[in-house]
Amino acid sequence: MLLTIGGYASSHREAPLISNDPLADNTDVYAFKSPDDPNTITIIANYIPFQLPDGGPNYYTFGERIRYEIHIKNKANTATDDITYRFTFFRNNEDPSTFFNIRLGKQNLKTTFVCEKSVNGGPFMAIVSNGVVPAYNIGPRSIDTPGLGLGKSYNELIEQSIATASSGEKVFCGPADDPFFVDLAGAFDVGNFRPDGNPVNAPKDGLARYNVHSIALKIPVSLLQKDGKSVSQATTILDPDFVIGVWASASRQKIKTLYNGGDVGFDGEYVQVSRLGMPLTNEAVIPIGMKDKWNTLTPYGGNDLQFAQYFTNPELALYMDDSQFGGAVPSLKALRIQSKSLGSFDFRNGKPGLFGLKGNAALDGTALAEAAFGKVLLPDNASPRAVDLLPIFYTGVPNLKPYQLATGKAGNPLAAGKPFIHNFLPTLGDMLRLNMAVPATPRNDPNFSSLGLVKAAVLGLTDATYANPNLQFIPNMDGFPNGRRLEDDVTTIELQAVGGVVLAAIGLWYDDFVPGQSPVTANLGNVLKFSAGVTKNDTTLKTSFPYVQTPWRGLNYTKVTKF
Amino acid sequence: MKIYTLVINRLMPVLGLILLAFLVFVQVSCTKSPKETASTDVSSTMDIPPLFERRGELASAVEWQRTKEKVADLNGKIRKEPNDVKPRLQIAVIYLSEARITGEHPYYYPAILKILDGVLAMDPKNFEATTFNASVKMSQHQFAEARELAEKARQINPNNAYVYGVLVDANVELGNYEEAVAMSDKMQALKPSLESYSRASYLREIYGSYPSSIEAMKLAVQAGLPGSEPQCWSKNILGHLYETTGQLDNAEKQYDGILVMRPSYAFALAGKARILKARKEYPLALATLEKAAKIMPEFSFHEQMAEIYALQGDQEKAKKKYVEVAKMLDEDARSGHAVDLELCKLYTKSGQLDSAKKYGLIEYRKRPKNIDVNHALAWVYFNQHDLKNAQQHMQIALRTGSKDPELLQEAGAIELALGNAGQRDKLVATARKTNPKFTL
Repeated sequence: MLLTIGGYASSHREAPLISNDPLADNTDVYAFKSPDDPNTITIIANYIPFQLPDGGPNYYTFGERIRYEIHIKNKANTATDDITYRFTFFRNNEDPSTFFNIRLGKQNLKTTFVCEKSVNGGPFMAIVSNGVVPAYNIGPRSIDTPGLGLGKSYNELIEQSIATASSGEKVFCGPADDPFFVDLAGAFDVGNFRPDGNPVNAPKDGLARYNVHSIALKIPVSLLQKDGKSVSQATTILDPDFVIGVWASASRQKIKTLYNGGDVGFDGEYVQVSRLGMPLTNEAVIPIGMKDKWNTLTPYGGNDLQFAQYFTNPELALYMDDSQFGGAVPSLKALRIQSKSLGSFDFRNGKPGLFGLKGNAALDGTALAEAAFGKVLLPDNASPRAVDLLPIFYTGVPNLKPYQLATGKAGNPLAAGKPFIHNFLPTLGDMLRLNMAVPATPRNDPNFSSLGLVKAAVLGLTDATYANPNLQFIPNMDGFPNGRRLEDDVTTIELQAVGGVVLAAIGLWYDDFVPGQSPVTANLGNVLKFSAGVTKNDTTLKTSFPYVQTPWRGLNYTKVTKF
Repeated sequence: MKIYTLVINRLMPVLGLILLAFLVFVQVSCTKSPKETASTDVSSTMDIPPLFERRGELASAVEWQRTKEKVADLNGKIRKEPNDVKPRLQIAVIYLSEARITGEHPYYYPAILKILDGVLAMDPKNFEATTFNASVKMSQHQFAEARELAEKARQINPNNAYVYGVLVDANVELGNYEEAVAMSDKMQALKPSLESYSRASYLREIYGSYPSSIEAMKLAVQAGLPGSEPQCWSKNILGHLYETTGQLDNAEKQYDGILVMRPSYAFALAGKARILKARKEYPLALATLEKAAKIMPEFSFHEQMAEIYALQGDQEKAKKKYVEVAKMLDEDARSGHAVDLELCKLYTKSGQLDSAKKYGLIEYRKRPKNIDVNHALAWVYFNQHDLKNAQQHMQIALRTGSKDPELLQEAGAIELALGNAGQRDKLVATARKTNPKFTL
């Protein structure tokens, strides 16, 4: 028999070089106080972006031979994870004779999972050993129709797949509407974000009608708190012992190229191929050439310090600074960083910020004192944002002077003010940090806002109910960057933060502030009015776990303009 | 102040797109805004060649509409900010992908090089542009240049998995197999992925382990997004490995599986055609190849047709087809694609041994250590009854311990002609272990 095994195009097989790894691509991480249960925290990690609802015949599902992990820290003095949840997925074809995903009640790519948990570096123990991932939401014949399809409504499939772990958590793994929202077309057009509410050229959610795959956990606070305490044992709503850091990852096992065997030749080591803690860090802050490296690292052991420069002098700040490229991106014109706050403090890239105060007695008793965290927060005279952006991303923000609202400070930003955040867990690495003692803001509260902690700060500065120096619950104190709720508009919040809004909140006002007059100046107003366009998801959220909405149905989802 | 680029392909996590637009390229010493420095007199290297319009089956692939929209978006950005390298690099990435999908190499490779020249004119040490340049040189079979560029890119940034992929490929083609293995292991350590698993698979094949090569390629398939071009590519190579090892049913399953997900994947049709040819279903094999050839201008589909004509006994038709294939390869060569090895193999098949030797030697001078080049040249010499040279080149071709049945059978034929029947028996026995059905 003559069978020529020649190459096509020949002498060399051109393997792909560029394909992201969507199955292992962690797109977003959320961690928030469950709105319907003050005793639990919900953590959601999303993977596999841009899933078209009608993306057959091989629908999306979690990948095999990938470790999907959710990492939690609740102590700053330990070297690695304090709790790790590890998910491993398995696929099975119940009817290999068909290319249909579902036929006659049989499902191909039927996906199940095992969830294991390790606490304080101990061995991994299975806490869900027979988890089921719902089928993709293809259409009524595949899903609802008895005999032909699975014979259940899609929501039944979701409900039935919510597992209760042997250690007490609720667990859901499956397709869902992608809760993230962003005006992609505006972003593509050189940052030409279209303001929310403008009738001429309305912003459009570039992620509308896409599904993702969610791993969701609803975890009792007592399992997450470092000493096993429940919420009722918190001393205050900002109890420093109730802070957790959360990040998620996906890892693949490497193989040894040559070895003496006939199978795969894994050498046992898993390599992390994606990680995500704070939103936007990896995508927009870490340079492309460093991305592979960033993805392989944990945020522990000082690994992330090499990336700190991207926070202390963020590139984005150049476009909010008229002495640099302030004119290059018109839609950011509302954001102008303080260059002479209180007449002297310059927070533009390369400027001293508060460094001039280093060693000054005025810093005694504040987080900026050398005896406290001065080394990190005031490292040199050219890292102005080490004082605000770096802690937001790398340590969390302590409820210490000067990180309190200007309310009650009588014009001195270094004085004690109104507490509004404490999610301090100083590990010097990128994580989403949440204080679990903070109550949830009811979603029907008239003050509920997708601006998260920025809105809480505004209320604490301007609303008579909260304009006092005492610690009290302000709506949205449970919002980003104190954790991240599904509703939080992190794009806008982070852009406002780069624009100096946190500095203003603690009394380092914008340049147009006149002493003795209201600090809510035109510049501050512009920053607070700024939005990145789309400010909410294209559908609702569920009021109960897993909160993410049912995935769009392939057969009959309503299409929308995304651009 | 150094500004970094974000390279985005069609499946990039969306968060990255948000701020992409804000990051405008700034020289280290730049003190003016990009707008102030943007040249209104755009030179020709700054022009972006248009997308090559897909036709027929390829135009119905799921990503085509989005690709067009994205390229239009990016061109809009370039018009507004001519000095911003990022949208240019993104278009280069899209064109690299389009070249793979459409096979329109003569159009795309020069187009990509032009885009990259524009980027490098603005930023001579741009990591992505250097790496993509190396990729294109690989695709054009300019292996030494590709390796040099990839090494340059690695100096700029040693922490990127992509560049190690280029280094694996370039070293394989240059016959630096040990170095290729080292680069492959580094790539694994940085990022296990479809790209790294598939490269490990190829090296295992080169070093003579088909079972572990197949296992690694299965991993590559598993790591791909179902229906994506990279995943289809991996399934197709897995099909090839099954063919090589005589597992035609498994091979066919791979090809059928691809065509369900991506009916326009022409290489899977060519794979189906090979299976049909093996079953002696020649008319159906030819019809399948015609379908593949309508989708993409790939010379090997026509080469397969010529082989089938020859098997059908129509030598005249086969000869005509070989001439047609040679013309296609010449066209490819004019776009900068080195095709000397392909021509060597083609002329060997068509019995034009002097031409085969000529092109084989051209390639051999460029990469004397490559086993495939030496294999091709050994077979030319064997057919010319120059057994001494045939044996010399065959020894180089066998040096990695490849178990390729065709290679071993041909090596056996050379040994037999030299009177070494025992050696021939050994080689044939090894070939049969890989594929009991294969005969020359």
